[in-house]
Amino acid sequence: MKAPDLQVNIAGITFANPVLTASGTCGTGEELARVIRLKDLGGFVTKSISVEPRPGHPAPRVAETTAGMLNCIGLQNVGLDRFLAEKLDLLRDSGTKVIVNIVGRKIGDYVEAARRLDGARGIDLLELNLSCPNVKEGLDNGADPRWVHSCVAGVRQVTTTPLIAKVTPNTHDIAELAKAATDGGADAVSAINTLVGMAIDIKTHRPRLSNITGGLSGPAIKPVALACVHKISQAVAVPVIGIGGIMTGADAIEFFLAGATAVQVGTATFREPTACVDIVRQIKNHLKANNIPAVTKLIGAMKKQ
Amino acid sequence: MTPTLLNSAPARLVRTTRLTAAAVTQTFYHPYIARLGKPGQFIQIQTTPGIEPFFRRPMSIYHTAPKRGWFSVLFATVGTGTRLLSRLKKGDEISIVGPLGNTFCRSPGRKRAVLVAGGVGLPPLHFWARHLAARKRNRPAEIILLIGSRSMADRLRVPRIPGVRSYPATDDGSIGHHGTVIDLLKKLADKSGWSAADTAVYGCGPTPMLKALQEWIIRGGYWGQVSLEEMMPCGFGVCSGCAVPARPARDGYDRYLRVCHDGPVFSAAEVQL
Repeated sequence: MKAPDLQVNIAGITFANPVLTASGTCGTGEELARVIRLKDLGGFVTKSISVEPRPGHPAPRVAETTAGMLNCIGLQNVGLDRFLAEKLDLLRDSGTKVIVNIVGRKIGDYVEAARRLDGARGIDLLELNLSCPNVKEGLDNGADPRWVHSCVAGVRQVTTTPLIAKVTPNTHDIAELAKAATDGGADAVSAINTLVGMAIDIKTHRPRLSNITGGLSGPAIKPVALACVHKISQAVAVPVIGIGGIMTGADAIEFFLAGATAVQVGTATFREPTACVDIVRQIKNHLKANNIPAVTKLIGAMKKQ
Repeated sequence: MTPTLLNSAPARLVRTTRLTAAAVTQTFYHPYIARLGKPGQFIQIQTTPGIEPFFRRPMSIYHTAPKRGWFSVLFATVGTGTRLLSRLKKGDEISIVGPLGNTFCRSPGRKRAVLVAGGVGLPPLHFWARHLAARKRNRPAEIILLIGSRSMADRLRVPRIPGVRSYPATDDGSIGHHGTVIDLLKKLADKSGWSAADTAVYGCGPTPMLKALQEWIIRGGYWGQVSLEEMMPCGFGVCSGCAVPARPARDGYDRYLRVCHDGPVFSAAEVQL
């Protein structure tokens, strides 16, 4: 049997394989490029970039939890100017698809960021972070379908670059948010961002995070993420990118079966720096071993109970 | 850019030696780290093949034996991760990433190197002392290692290094200087007439100790480096979880430095402790 086909297509863009980095877990690529060849990824999603630089939150920013972790990094990033001047070249020349994740305090910030990135060579897609739980504005707004619709529609007007809307699970109906995003013009939906959580030190009685609450990630959230992806994929016609606790190729396969066209891998990279490329290999091996000619055959292929 | 850090080959445990009720050293066979590991650098060690505890544990490299392919770490068994690690059996394999982070460096022209260690902050400084003492060129004329611990029972019994003068300090006075290692440092500096022009200072230990050391270094105008410890989900600069504020205070993106990637060794004046 010839090698299984790992290519997937999102918004007219062909990805060599369905494994992307998750935003906020690989910076803007220079550190990961010391560990793996970026061109072996399906795509690279940057840390959230805002128009103005952000310092992030004070320490402690991370806490270890059962089968996962909490973080309140606070969207620390170099800002749009420095990203364009200092960071984009490495990604553009890396040979992988480049997805720039943008974030803002208000819709105007997203629109401005998207407008200024629109002409930049080497950006294949934009991902709108409509869901970071670590900044008040993000959470409140991101759970409101009208705000999500307006934000995506506003960005849509100023850019021809394909848009991915990253929606929050911290809501009662994530499919509603996904629909609002696609109605606003999103070409794909990614889910889930982290779940709001907290941890307390019982010796000191203090919260383990400086921001008190943070975002929960890692294998602990995988079943929640899978259910969200399944629900979204039933509700929208555009491709869904699954995120949440993917540690292995088998985890990724579950997301494809639930309806994801691609996956993003984040927290796993902290434990295993080569996690993304390991997962690509494991997916390939699974397809080979099961005589599945293409990964696209798995998308939404979950059978009825 | 070519990947250079691809090596996450398993390390094989050669031996575990208990030093005190709370501290052990472990020696692993891992030729890559043994060959490349430098004083100040660390490794990220998976304490169990499973996913609990979830994070790897960062540990300073304590010693390397490049020809044998060995390196060792020294740590206190304080939590789940370190306890699991201390129970590994000879021959067990465990995933280790490294060497990571930057290294201590020599201050050219300063004839005296003073290394100030508190508690389990000792391993990287002991490694650095060995390294300095073994140098053929640019060897400091005087290498002094101050080792602080709570009591004689907590004192880490580490090999003497030829050419290095070592002074203990204990909080309860059960051995050596009675008081903190910083008090001992001040006493020796006064008695021996050290000056900022001829002395380089290196420190690693608990934050209150490092803070006192930093104050002393800055007030005296000394050249100094401190090695910091933090919880590190990734250890190679991608997660920004191990933030320490830069000094003097800055705005925007550069307000925080990453202990794992910008350090763990910092110029003493460059971080807010």
